Order: sequence, then structure tokens, then C-alpha cells
Amino acid sequence: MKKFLQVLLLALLAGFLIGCSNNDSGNEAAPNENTTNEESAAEGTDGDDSAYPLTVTDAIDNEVTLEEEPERIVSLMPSNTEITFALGQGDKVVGVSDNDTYPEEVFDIDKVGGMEFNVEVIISLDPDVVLAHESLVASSQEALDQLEGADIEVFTVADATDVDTTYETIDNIGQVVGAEEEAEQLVTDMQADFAELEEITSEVAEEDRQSVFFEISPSPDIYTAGQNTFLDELLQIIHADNAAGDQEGWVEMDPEAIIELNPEVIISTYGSYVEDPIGEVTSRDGFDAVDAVVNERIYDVDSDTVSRPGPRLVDGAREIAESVYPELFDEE
Amino acid sequence: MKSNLLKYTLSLAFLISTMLIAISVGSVSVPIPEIVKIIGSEVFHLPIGNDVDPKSISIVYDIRLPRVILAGLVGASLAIAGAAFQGLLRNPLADPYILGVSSGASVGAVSTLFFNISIPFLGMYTLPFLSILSALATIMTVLFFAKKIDKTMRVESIILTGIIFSSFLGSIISLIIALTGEELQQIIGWLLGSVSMRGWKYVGIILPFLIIGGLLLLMNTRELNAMSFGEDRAQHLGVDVEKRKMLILAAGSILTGAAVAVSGTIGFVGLVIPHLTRKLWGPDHIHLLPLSIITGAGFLILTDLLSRTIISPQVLPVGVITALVGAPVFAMILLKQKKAKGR
Repeated sequence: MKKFLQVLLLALLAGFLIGCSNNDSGNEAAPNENTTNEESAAEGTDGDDSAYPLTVTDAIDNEVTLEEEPERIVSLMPSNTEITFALGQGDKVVGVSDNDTYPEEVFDIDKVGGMEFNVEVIISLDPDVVLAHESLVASSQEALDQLEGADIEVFTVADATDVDTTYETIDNIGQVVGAEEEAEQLVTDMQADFAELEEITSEVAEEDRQSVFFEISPSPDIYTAGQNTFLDELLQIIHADNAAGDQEGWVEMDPEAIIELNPEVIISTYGSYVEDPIGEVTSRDGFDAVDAVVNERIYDVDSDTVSRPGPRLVDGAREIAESVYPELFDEE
Repeated sequence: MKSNLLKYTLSLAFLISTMLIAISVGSVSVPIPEIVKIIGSEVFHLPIGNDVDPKSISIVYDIRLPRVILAGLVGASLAIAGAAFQGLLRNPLADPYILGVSSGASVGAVSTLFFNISIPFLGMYTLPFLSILSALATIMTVLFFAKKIDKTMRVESIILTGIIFSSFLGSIISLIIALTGEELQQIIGWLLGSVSMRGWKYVGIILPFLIIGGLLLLMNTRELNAMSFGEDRAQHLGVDVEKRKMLILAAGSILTGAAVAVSGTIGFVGLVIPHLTRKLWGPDHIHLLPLSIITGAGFLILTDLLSRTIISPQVLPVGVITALVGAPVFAMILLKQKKAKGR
């Protein structure tokens, strides 16, 4: 029994890891598709007040046809919800996933399940469109099929792992929920905010660049973010170095190796469920030789803002920048 | 019959060489003279000189050394508990987890993570503390229950009771996993087993249990020998079967509970090491138990070394490596044995 459980867990974990890496590779194709259907949809909207009926192709090449602007939206992914709210369409959201935490309004919206969503609840909410997510396709194909079988339009949003793809998903969602202008505006604002952060931090001299080590999970299994993660990309934007930049994706690091990397700053993202994340790092045996611990440069950022491909990535980047280069932001 | 001296020399040589390699090899290579200096200065307060990087001191003394020692203690505990259970239950499939103790310890640990429990004064040791508590509670319940359904506590009754408790506690763990959110990774990481980042305090937690449990078992090696001929024979030979059985089950369970509490459920060591030792050096429990301790310690140190060096600086769960390395080795020995018999 025990062993069975272990194997099951291992399979889950492996699936999770493979899932992550698949998403990375899957992404390369996804953006292109999205751009093309964005263009084709744009043709339909131009010069015509009513874009509907609207046919769009989603991230998994399904054609989704909407007869009219959706009034009832179910979001299966927190990032979808955040984008929809940021586009001013939050009042149309009638169902969200269990993992939704932002904005506060989501706590008053019906929940449709977490990793495995409840098809019956979704159908009972009578949505005009369901905003699914590319990362759900592998685990919930059957449920998504059932939704489509119930004549519910399911639009699968691409699984963005970089900022540019996030812009595209914002455009896509804007198109589906009838808020294209708002989407354009949101993307422009985000671009401006990122540009501002980049501008501010560009003052950092080459020798003052800080090396930052991210901790996604606490000791003893310390996971970090390597290349092709939002965290890595956000560090590049703010002119800082990822201490684990040699790694790819999400990996568990040998504590010895972390000490040897000797990061100048450690940023954890598990403050939401670990009581004292900074104490967690400083109390570790052997870590008193690490610069970040010696100089008390350990911070915790909200994991949602740096992992959900949505409008709050800017907030996450700003939080990281203010932690890493406080002197640049004090002056303001 | 190989001479006893040879058995122990070879086993100890295996343990010592794995320890030396495991201390010197890792994500960061520290030359052996430097390691000797570091250990000398930390343990015997010898002057260290200025040429040793303080980071190396942290890595060797605070991280690698306690990790290697903890791996050894966990491996030793699981191996001797497994050897005793296999002998007592006369069941080649018996492992230290057979009585549901590991599930019990896991429930304690997983609940600690799930409910984010932190007992004042214990802090980060809340988890091993609650884990050992729930392991002890499980042993007592299992033994009480086994005694209730069958006064003489026949082997079959014990195994059945263990399976019932394992399944029940296992389903509680599955339930917690199904309900969990952000702690999922921590819980899975813990269930897969690891000796990483435990530090010296965890060495201190398991050591007394290993000493007590280990001594209890080592004092019962003759009785184990007698009982391997069947309980009736043992009774005739003058063994107080019932009392000894309880003692051995309790001691093995304490060892298992403590091992699971500090390192999670590391599979395969407790099953395979006793078999391996028996095949190599013979079934006499008087030597089987101490040799299992030595071999188990060396084996887990070796597999932990592999888990942290194969894809360094990333790490793999040690439980995966124990099975990956252990199963083929075990299969090979079984095959060899078969051939030798066939001739």
C-alpha cells in the first residue's frame, strides 16, 4: 500500500515536472497561432460595432464561436480571472477556480473546483463561455470534452511562461469577452510599467548587479526558478542576475550548491503558507556563510504576483526590484 | 561458512569507504585535507588556519556531515528493523513498514504540514516530534488490536492487522493530499523521503531511538533464531514467545517510527538490506542483525550520495534511488543464488 502510494506520488510529481517542461516547449508554437487568429478576428471587428458572431481559434486549435458578447463567464484559472477583472469585465464572471484569490470579489463568486473542476457546477452556472487553460488540457481533457458536449463554448487560453505571451493571452481574453480596447490599453500600461522599472534599474552599475536566489519552497526541499520562468525574466528586466541561472525551469537545489552560489539576495515566495519565511532561511545550519544571510537581505514576495501570467506581474517585478535595489526606489 | 572476522571487516570497510566518499563528494568539491582540517577544528577545536573558506566549513560541517551521518543512522534503523521483522514474522516480504508504523508516522508529519502546526518551544522540531508520537500511538493500537483479535498473536494476525492499519492510515494521507493546496510540494517531498537539510539536531533525535531499539533487538537475536523454526519449537526451547514477540515488534517499530520521523518514508532499505545481508553472510540472527546495521547504513549513505550528485546541483528524492539501485542488485543476488543452487 505504502509503496503504491509512493509510486503514485512519484508519478504525480513526475507528471507535474513533465507538464511544466512541456508547457515550455508547447509555448513556442502557441503564440504564433494566437497572433494569427488575433489578426483574423481584428478584421471582423474593424468598422463594425458588433464583433459577434465571433469565431476564434484557441491555444489548442479549437474553433470557438460566440453568437453574442458573453454575459456569463466561468474562469478555470486564476490568471484568467485576474485578466478578466483587469479588463473591467469582472461583473460577468460567475464561476472561478478554488485557487482564485484575487481580486477580492472572487471570494463572493461560485467556486467550480481546483485541480479537478466540477463539470456539473459549471453547467449549472449556465456560462456563455468558459475560459480554460492550456495547462489543464492534459489533466482535465475529459471534463473539458463534457463541457463542450453540453454545448458550452470553451476557450483555452495559452499557458504563458513569458511576459510577451502574457500580453497575447490578455489580447485573446479581451477579444473573447468583448473588451479588445481595454486589453490593448492594459498591455500598453504593462509595457510602460515594465519599461519604467527597466529604466530605473538601468542605473545599476555592472559591478553592483545583485545575484538573487529564488526559493519557491522551503527547506528541506528547496526548489528554485531557473531559465524560462517568470522569475528569471523579471530579474532580467530589473537588471539583476539569477543565481540559479544555469538551471532550466523549476528544480530542487542541493543546499550545498546554494551556499556555494553565495547569492547576495534571497527571495522566497512561500510566505503565504510558511509563518516566518525569513527566519526559515536564516535559521538553517550552514547558511550563515551566505552573503544574503550575513547582510540580512532576505525578502518574501507574493508568489501569485510572480507566477500568475496576468496583469499583476508588474507588481511582482516592482516588489522584487524594490527588495533588490531599495536605494533606487527610496529617492523617488 | 565464512569466518566472522571477514564478514565484519568487509561490511565495515564498505561503510567506512562510503562515508569517506560521501563526505568528500558533493555539489561543491572540498579537498580531503581541508575536510580533515574542518572536522578537526569543529570537533576538537584545533586551529584551522586562514586558508579554509568559511563557506567550505559551513558546507562540510553544517550540511554534508550531518546529512551523511543521518543517512547512516536511518539506513541502520530501517535495516535492523527489517531484519528483525522478517525473522519474527517468517515472511520474506516483511519490511519495517509492515505494521503500519510508517503510515502512522506519516499521518503525524503530513498533518503537521497540512495544518501548519507549530508547537511552542519545539518550533521546527514539531514535525519529528508529532511524527514519533503518532508512530508510537500506531504501534500501541496495532499491537492492542492484534492481541484483541487473537490472544496468541499468531504471525498471520499481526500481518493482517498491520495491513488494515496501513491502508486506513494511507487513506488518511491520500485524503490530506486531496485537500491540500500550497503545501502539496512539501507533503510530497516529505513522503518521498529525504535526509537533506536536517542538521545535527535530527541526528540527535534519531540516535537515542536507534540505541534503545537496536540494543533491544540485539539482545533478542538468539530468540529470533529459535523462533525462525516456528513458535512452538521456540516455546519448547524455553523462549517466552509472547513476551519476546511483543518486545521485538515494539523495538522494531520504535526504530521505524524514529527513522520515518526524521527522514520520511524511504522505501526498500528495510526490505532488501536484510535479504542481501542474509544471502551474503548467512541467516544466523546473531550476526545478521549487526551486519544489517552496518550494511544498511552504508547503503543509504551511498544512495543519498547518488541522489545529490547524479544531476548536481539539482537533487533527486533518495527514496527513488534506493529502489533504483536496490532492486537490480537484489535481483542479481537472487539469480546468482539460484544458479549456485542449480549446480
